[in-house]
Amino acid sequence: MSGDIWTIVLVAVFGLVAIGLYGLLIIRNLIKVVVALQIFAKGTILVMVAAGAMSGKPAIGQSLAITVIVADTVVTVMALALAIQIRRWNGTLDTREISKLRR
Amino acid sequence: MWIQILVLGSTLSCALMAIRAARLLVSALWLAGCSAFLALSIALLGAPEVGVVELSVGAGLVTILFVFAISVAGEETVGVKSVVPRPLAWALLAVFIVLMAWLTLPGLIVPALPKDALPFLRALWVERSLDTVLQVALIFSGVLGSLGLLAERRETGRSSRRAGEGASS
Repeated sequence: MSGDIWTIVLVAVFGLVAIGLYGLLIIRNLIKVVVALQIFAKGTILVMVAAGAMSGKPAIGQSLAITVIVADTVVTVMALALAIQIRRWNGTLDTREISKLRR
Repeated sequence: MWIQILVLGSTLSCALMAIRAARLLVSALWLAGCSAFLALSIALLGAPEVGVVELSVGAGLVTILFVFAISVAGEETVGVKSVVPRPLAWALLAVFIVLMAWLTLPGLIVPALPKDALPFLRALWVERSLDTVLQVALIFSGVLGSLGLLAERRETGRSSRRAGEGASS
């Protein structure tokens, strides 16, 4: 594959990670924070596959990408379960309201 | 090449819509679309096994989990005022993108695939077998942890007895 395609893939990775990071910075709803985290992780998965292929070791990149997919899914399950519990006990998913509980 | 650009562009627009959508359910569905396009893109890059896993786990399982969580927790529209001031968020984002581009883009050297490259299945099951064991452990810990968190709290004997006394008096 030519070098151009990897530039395009890297630009897409930047886009995915940037959208995820922007979401993590501005979003206050806990469930939507998990959505932003998922988008961030999708950029990571794409860059692992691309980096493996670019460095001539595609199998290592692909196996690490699968590890990231599994770990990311487990993190999502735990985060969603925590969000449900927070909603159950505090009645809100707003991160600002939750952080006020410390004061 | 054009197909790849189209698929990656669709992935990015789905991701953007997932962040911009006001309703949580709509956001989860856009995320599923983003996952599906990403799986297609990964398959086009020559890794169909990873694409299949991403499609089944990312677009399937995770979407079901999101829909379940939203149906349990309920739709809640939180105000638009963000955690971090928006100009600061944009500035941080710009710094991040510049740093990433600086670190990665000049090093765009694509070597040809060597003939004796490690096959994927051998890499996953033999060379990286510890990763596979770790994944199994992670899945089980995730299932057990979510069960523990989602479970209703069991009433202790004393509190239920007290409730019974209260009802009788």
